[in-house]
Amino acid sequence: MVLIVSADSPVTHLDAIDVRKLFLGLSVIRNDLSLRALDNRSDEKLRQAFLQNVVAMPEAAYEKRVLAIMLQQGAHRPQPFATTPALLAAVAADPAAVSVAWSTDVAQDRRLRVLRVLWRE
Amino acid sequence: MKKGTRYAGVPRLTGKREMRNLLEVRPRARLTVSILLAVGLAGGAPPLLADENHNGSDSDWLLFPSFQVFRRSAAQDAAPQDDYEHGTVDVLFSHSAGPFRALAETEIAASEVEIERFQVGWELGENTLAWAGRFQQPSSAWNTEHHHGQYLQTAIARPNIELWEGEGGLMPQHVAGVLVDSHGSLGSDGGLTFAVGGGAAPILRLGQLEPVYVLRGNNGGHRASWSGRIAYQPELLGDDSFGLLLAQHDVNVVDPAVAAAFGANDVTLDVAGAFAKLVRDDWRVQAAFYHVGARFASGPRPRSESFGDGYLQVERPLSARWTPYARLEVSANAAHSSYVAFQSHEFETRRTLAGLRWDVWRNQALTVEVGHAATLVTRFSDVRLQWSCVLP
Repeated sequence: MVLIVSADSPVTHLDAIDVRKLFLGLSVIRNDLSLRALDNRSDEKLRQAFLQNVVAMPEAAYEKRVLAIMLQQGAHRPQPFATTPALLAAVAADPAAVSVAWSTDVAQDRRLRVLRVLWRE
Repeated sequence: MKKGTRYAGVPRLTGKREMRNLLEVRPRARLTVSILLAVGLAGGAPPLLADENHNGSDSDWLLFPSFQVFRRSAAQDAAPQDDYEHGTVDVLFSHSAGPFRALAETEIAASEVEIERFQVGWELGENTLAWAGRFQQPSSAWNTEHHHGQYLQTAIARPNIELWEGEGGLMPQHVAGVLVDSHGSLGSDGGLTFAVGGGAAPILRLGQLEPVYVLRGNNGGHRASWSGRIAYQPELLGDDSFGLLLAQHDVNVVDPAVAAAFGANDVTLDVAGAFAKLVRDDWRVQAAFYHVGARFASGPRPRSESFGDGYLQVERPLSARWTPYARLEVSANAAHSSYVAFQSHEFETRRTLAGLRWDVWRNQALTVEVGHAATLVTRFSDVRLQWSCVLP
């Protein structure tokens, strides 16, 4: 599982804590760009890897935490995507977008850039 | 009447139920509640999934419908009138464009529609937001976390010291002014959050605190309020936090009966508190304690008094769906406080409760709660049943 951004994104590095903040709906700014997390819901195994290795909490706790932060700060939930092609197209089109995907899904996609490996099977 | 209650003779004043009679019951509000509850009951709506045409909208919204019924053992004339609405929908809307933020939280009930929060903000940095508008003051441990979203709190009833103004609450909760909210890291693993707000405090009118309204007309006379909280998180972005709360509210007493009982037409509330939230091995513990000083300086005989109030709530999920919980609320010196006496029928000096929440479906919960409480004038037991939900 890898962390991906658009090939046009100015972002070159994100710490683990920044990635967690982003997927909880908190603000992360790089190069004057407010980053936006996109939620990859295309694959259950990927989802479980994301919950364990990125936000470190079970699904229900994660959803409640995101809702609570939205209620407290007016933050935005990560926009969920049901299919990989839709997610990859959205990331490619938005320099502020950040998401996760299987490395095999993005390996040949020149529209995208891999920031880091988050988990290896 | 409780023996030794020095100020319990303050005449019973108009509470929320009477206030509602003064308000026009809006048929459209009833209709809206019905429709939204029906949508919720249709239930289990998954989050909206984006498609290829998603345009990166920076607006978001949430609905928190809830419905509850309850039965109370006390006689009607002695029981608190802080009854929750049977059905409410809390609507949260947020929008951002660059560093600009807007947030509106509206509570829709059968008897009234009120904008609870209406804030416009500016992101001063990655971790700092400055807001202007009507907000919920940050020195409330419970409300800062849950606001009006019933679904997100395990228990049905809020702790008594955290009640909203219109429910017989003793503490100002909604302030119109400026709020700065910031968070950051502390040390290698920890986090520190900080919030401070200042603005117009509620006035005390018709037997209850009355904040600055957004939709209704205001009577003026609001005086200054400031409030703040600072919290330490042992793990940045973790569940655990410990914090201190401070506030000072200058409350203009417009109600002649209450002013006569106070011997002053103004009361300054000095609030100091502490809170803790701990999650350990499936146990969740939330506790807060407030020391409230009330100064009556404007009368012929300036005086001051104080009381304390706190609560401890413990939850232990048995599975992903079942969560039993219990809470103890206690107060100190409340029976000797003239400030507490203005809500003598509403403010519970002691409450014990236990409940069971069943997350019956995705984003929906059924909760049953039994409690026993004492006010300055009576004791009673109650049982509540609530359905709550979040959409979409």
